[in-house]
Amino acid sequence: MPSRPLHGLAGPLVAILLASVSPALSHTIVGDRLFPATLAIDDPGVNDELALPSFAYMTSANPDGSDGSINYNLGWEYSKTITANLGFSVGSEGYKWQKSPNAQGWGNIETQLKYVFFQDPKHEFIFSGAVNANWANSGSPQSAGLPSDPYTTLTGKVYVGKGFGDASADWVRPFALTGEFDYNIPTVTANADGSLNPRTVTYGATVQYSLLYMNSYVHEVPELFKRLIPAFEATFTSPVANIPLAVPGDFSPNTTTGVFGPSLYYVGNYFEVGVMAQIPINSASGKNVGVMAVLDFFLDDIAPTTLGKPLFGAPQARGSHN
Amino acid sequence: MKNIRSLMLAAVLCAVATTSALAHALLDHAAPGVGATVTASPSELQLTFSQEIVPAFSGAEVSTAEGAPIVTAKPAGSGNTLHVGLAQPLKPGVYKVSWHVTSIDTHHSSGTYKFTIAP
Repeated sequence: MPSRPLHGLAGPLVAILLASVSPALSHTIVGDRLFPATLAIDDPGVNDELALPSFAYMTSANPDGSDGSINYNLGWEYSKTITANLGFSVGSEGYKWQKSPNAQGWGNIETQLKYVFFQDPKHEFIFSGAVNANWANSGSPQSAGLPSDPYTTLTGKVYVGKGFGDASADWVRPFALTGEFDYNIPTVTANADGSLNPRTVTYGATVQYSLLYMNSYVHEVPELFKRLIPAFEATFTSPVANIPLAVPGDFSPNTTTGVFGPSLYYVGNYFEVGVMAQIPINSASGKNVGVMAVLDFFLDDIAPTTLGKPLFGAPQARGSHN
Repeated sequence: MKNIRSLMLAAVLCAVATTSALAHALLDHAAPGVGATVTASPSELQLTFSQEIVPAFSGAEVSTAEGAPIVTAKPAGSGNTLHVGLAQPLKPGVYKVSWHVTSIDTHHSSGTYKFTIAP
């Protein structure tokens, strides 16, 4: 049996962080704007797609500043539209493993129901919300080296996205912003060992500069660059309630954790590949630069008449000039 | 967990097995180019998309920067490219092209771009 890798408050804190920086996936099109499946936060739309695999790597730090465990995970997510504006997804952090010390396990299954409340194709604006559940004990048992959470966490989410294709200055038009705000509520406030499961908020944003958009609508770019979307992303998690007491020599339980960094997406006809360098904001968030990556299949394009269309009604119209 | 891995494998196999469908058509390049400045009027506009299109359900309109429509021939398509013949040479100025296409998988997409004919 591998030894449990984390001790004291560092365990819950790093677990919260790692959960928050696992890739969050799906892409959408609003008017002329394609919002890619970004890595730090989810995009604001619903679609039919399969993220397989997603990958994350980060070294954690010990409270004394020394290197902690080296953490990896391979996850997945399947997203299905029920109607053009309502989507369901199921996924997981998937297989998690670490070195120093060695341990492994499976993450819990997550399900999510997401609804697009409003979108304005002409102004490339979208606003949506979701309810997410991370189901207790649906991953590895508590006897595993990296056990899954023994409690269910419910999360309310809101998303927003805005492309600037309606700007008058051509250099501004490829820009887009997306944002996400989550409120995470563990359904069990205290574990059997007496440790508390804090309520947290997770918030993040992306700034994107779409060469894909630029090529089609503003000015053609060289072949090598016309499918690329460079971006800068950040995501943070802060405890807000049911916060444990501080333990001397450990990370403060009030610490906000998070990562930020540049990312790059290649958008093909049927898939997207993305990679992000994740830089921890403090030692409670990790040490050194980590990586996230994803291969995302566009089922709405691969199988538009079967797997890739809503269960009910027509797909969302694409383009601002319909 | 074995069931989940089987489900994932099945989903991938379904996706890979469906090979006849295509994607949303994006404008890949045009002549004159998107945002380009050319020195003489072309005889036609060529819009090339990332996917094969259905000409009967695709088209493009050309207008001046002020919105005055330019007379064109009925757009014709072949493969990924839409051809829009111009009835008369264009005068120097900025022109706006509004296109709409249906790719052969029935996905509809549309957009606009500008090009300039230098004096």
